Amino acid sequence: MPKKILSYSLVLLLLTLVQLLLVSRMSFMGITPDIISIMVVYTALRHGRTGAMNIGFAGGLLLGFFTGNMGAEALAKTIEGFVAGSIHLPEESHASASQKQRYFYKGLLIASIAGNTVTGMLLNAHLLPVPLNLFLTLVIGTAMTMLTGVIAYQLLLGKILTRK
Amino acid sequence: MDRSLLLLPLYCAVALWLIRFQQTPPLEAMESLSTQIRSALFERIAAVSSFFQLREQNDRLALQNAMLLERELSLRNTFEESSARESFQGFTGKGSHSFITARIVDRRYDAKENLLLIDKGSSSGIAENMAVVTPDGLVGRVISVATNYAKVMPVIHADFSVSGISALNGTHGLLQWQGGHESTAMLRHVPSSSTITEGERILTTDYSTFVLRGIPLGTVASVEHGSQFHTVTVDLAVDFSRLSHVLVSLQRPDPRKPPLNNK
Repeated sequence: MPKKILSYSLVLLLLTLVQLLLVSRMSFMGITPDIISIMVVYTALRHGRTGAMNIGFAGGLLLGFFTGNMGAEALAKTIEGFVAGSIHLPEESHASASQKQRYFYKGLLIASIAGNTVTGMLLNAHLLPVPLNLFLTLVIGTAMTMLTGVIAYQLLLGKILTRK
Repeated sequence: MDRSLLLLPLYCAVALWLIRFQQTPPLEAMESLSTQIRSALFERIAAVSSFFQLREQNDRLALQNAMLLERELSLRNTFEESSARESFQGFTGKGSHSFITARIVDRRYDAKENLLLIDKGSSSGIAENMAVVTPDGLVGRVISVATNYAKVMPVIHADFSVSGISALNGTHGLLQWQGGHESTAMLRHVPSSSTITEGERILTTDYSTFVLRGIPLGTVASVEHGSQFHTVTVDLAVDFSRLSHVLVSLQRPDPRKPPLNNK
């Protein structure tokens, strides 16, 4: 168990650095994909709601520590973890590869919508009208995160999740 | 009972507490630490991605810019002001401006945060509320300082405002960014009696608490006439999309100047 916590913490730290140093450069209209959300959904799929919330909260705090928005990021990612928890597939579920893929995309979509709704309401550095900021964050943020999620699933996560 | 149902309110409460008390000293100290770490990381990456010679050249050019800006401000003070007015200037009228050249190691103009991080901090003599400029004009204000880095609130930030004056007819106003495009801001509180027109240069004034007068802010792009106040749009002097080096002004407005509400 401690080994698992350590490995998840290291992956979370690595992903936070990648999010800050690389992914944040790929912004469109000031909005970036969110790879921490992808990890939250992956955790939800493998370990359920509690694990996803733990990862979401820790990831949000870590990301927020560097961006100066600890509270908002932690809140958004905790809610993402809670929402994504509904897609949990126990290891003994014998779900097929396509089912796992469908569950992952579905979880990422609802988690991303939930997370972007929270950040869209709490963070508005461009001072856009709140409904417009919320709309842009939701639509563009969710689309970018989904796109990144598809790439991540095809390249790596799909292989891990379907491994016997 | 599902543990997640217990954790949800706990985590949300902690997150809301962090949002509520974001401006308190312990959390601000934590932010200063994060600034330090983050800047160091970005600097490492910048060091890898930039060619050494180009970097040296940039630094040299930035230093030259600092010297030219010093000279320009000095000449402007000498020629533009009458001797009678000079006698009132005291601090600012001496014509000596000193700057520290700094490199921008990180910038964020995204939906979550607008700020710049520079690679000079308290060890270089930088303190909070110092003005940050380029030869083109005002960039922003130092808002927090770590040992080797400082965080700068740019003109294009929701909380930033600075007093501006038209170089041509002396109209005063308050420059504030209204969100949206990063190249324009609004000059507010310009009375409708003012004859301000498009193309006029807007400079900083003596009213500011952090920046010396005469630093360009921008050029009037459009004027909409209102019943009490004009709505003045200003094209900002600094191109924030191309900033790589800045100058931090060590000199600040006369600290002896009493505030208006001081009885």
